[in-house]
Amino acid sequence: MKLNKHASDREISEMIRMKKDQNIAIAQLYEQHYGLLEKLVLQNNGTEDDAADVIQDSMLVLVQMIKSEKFRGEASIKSILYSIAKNKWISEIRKQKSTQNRHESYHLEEDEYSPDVSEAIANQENLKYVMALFEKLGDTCRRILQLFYYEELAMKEICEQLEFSSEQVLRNKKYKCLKSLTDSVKASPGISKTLQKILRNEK
Amino acid sequence: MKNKLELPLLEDYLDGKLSLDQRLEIEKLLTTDSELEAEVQALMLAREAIEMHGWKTDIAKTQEAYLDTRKIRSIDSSPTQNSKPNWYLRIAASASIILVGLATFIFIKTSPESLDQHFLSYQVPVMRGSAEIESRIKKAYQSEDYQEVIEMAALDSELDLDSRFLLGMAYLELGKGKEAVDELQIIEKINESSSIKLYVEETDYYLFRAYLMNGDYNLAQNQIEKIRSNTRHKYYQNVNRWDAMKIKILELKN
Repeated sequence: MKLNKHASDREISEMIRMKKDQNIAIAQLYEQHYGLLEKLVLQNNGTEDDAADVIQDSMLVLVQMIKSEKFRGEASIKSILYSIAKNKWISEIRKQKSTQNRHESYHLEEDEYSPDVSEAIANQENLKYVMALFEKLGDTCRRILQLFYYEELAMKEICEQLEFSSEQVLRNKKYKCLKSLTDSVKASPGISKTLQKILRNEK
Repeated sequence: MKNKLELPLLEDYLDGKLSLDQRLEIEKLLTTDSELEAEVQALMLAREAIEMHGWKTDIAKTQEAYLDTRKIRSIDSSPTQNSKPNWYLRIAASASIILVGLATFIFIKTSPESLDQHFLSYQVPVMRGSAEIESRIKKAYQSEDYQEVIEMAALDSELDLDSRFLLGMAYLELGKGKEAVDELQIIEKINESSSIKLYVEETDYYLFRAYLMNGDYNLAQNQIEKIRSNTRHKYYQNVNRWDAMKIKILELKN
């Protein structure tokens, strides 16, 4: 797909959901919404760097909502992103206030977020923890798992790309890497009960 | 289930690649084996986290590229000393474009619906402490059963003014502008020949809405003028010159 001047919400969510031209979809999200989200943070005592962090996290939450079909297009991407960013920035301000005892005023009032947005944000907080465990795996493990689960490459392609002697050797390695990650997850006290509840519902 | 095949088998389960029998067997085990349940949850989490990590990397790269491009754009568009003479000209041109754009926007956006959305539905006044026995029509109207109002009114050959007004309001609520006009015009006529006048100002206002609904913009305009000519009119604050202008636009668009 060629880069549209202004792709619609439906086009963007389809590209993300189908993982087709996803970089174009993300670029469109940035073109269309970065300014608004940055303004939200800047007008509430945040810096440009704060805004960049909040926006990056918010984009990930939105992607997660689209992938798990929690975003079904009833609301616009703009309003969902705004709601996520606002929620995230309020949490960040609270964190900063409690750690640095800052007393600057901010004008954000907490809205009633849709349950889907709140759930996606909570889910992401838990996933961050598992993502950190993933980052602790060795470089080869990370590459195999990334190519298989994110890039969705066939074992044969991964085998060629990473120069494994055979697909079976690669399969064994992939098994060990995934096992190592799931074992770390199971052994983590950081995985909240809330997420386990969410996962049970999804099953 | 506790052999080396466990993880690939569970992956096939999550991917829906198992036969019905295998799937049912795992599902049965999941209800009793908490260890297996924890394994499945950990696997789901791990796979989701790997995928999200990929998205996170792509998002971070896109964000970096976006911010770099934005920086370059802002350098390109920052004013130089040579551009100063054109400054006022640019402001004037921008203002003209904005005005033309605004006028076009208003023209395009003005629709009967844009006017109609500001209307308030008629609310039957609540008489606190009154022993009045409310009519069935009034009760039906209060419970927003407008079709019932119309049906009950049709059965009443001697409709009183209260009920007739509610009948008009029910037609309005159901988007039947023509029928609403008929009822409200009957009320106007009754009031003209009666010493006790009821719903005069309400009729003025809701006729405006009914005419608008029917696309009779000229008549709607007359109603606005009638209401705006009396500063003590109950609905004086509810209609303004902006509404009058919008109706003129609607006439033009017609």
